[in-house]
Amino acid sequence: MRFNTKEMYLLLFRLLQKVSKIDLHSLQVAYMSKIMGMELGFSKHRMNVIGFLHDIGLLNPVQVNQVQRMHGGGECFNKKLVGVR
Amino acid sequence: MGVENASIRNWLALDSGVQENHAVIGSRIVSKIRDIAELSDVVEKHHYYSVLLDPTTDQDVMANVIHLADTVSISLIAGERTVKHIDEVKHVIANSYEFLEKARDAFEKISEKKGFWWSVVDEDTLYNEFEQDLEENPLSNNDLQSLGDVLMYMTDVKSKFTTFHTERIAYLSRLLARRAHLGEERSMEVFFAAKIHDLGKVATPISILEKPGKLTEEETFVMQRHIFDSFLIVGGREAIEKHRLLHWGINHHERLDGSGYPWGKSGAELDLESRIIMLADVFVALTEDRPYRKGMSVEASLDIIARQVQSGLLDEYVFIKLRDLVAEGLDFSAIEHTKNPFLL
Repeated sequence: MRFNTKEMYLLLFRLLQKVSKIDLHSLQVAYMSKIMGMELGFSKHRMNVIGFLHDIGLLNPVQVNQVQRMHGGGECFNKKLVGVR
Repeated sequence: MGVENASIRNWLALDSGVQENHAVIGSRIVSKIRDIAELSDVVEKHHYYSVLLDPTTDQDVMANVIHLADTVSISLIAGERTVKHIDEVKHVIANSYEFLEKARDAFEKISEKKGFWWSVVDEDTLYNEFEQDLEENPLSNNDLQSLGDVLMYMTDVKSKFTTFHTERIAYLSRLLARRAHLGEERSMEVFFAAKIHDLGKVATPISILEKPGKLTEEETFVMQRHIFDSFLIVGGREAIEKHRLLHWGINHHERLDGSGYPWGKSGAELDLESRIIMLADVFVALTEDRPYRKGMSVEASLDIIARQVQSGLLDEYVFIKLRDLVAEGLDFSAIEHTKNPFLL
């Protein structure tokens, strides 16, 4: 059976959850982007996905390593503490 | 672990230095996902203020909608969830020059409903909203390989000692699969499985990955967990039962005599595809430098593998195919690199 886009995005969700701890923030942005996008006539699927992936660049291992070197640990980013924008 | 030791000032200082990078790198990642590749600019521009955007362009409006959602999310995480705080957030958004009028109007409309404010802070609702509105469009082989490339580079960039590790294993695994007459479609599945075989290492502490000396028992336990993290990230047992290629990479530290990890599988539990990735991983690892030793010659590596085959750890048939490839001049410089989104 072939992989589908839903399975791909859920894999990326689990990856974000494991490495960056920004999963709640990503879900909030996905939700708000989706419903605002619907008001503006944009595709629900695409706004949901692109809102969710807007911070995927934070998975950059170089940045993850910097945090690990400074503070230890394997699972690092936390927007609750960071206030990342 | 670790987060508790970081002051807010530490985090902000670190993030301010890479603020632009996460949008640029994110945009490059999105450009590799065909389903949404045309929206890569949206990610790159998601911190742009309204003056830098064209309100007549859909992508610029989308970027600004995300900027607004990002701002509201941060304020909700940082602030108290009270009527007073909600009113403050609405006031800030309505009067900010950062946002386009279209985005502000859309937010004003959705934020009038109390249900919105309860939904946006409820984790179960948010996950269900996300999951239920994902479309299930099939991925072509090219789509799958492109996703594999992103995950592979993410794993390899993690440490200077593994810069080409996964890429070489994937390349070699595909060659071995073809030599083992698995057919082109199956060989490409092996290629993808090899690309994600070490995915869990993205969560392994860099201090352990690059430790110059021998790992302690505790450190070894943490290092070996990368297999279990890979298992979780790909979706656990349910996903593996649905897509068998997902377990080929996860088996790469198992051994035919049952002495490997994480599950101690043996013999018939390890199919040919798993045995290919297992042996490719050993060969590539032996020939590469590690923090505690230099890489070995191809000949010395083959000698070690031959002994492991004789001891019943690795597969003899796959080893014969590897030896044939080496005799014919196996050359990792022949690998065609795609652009690594994590390297600016």
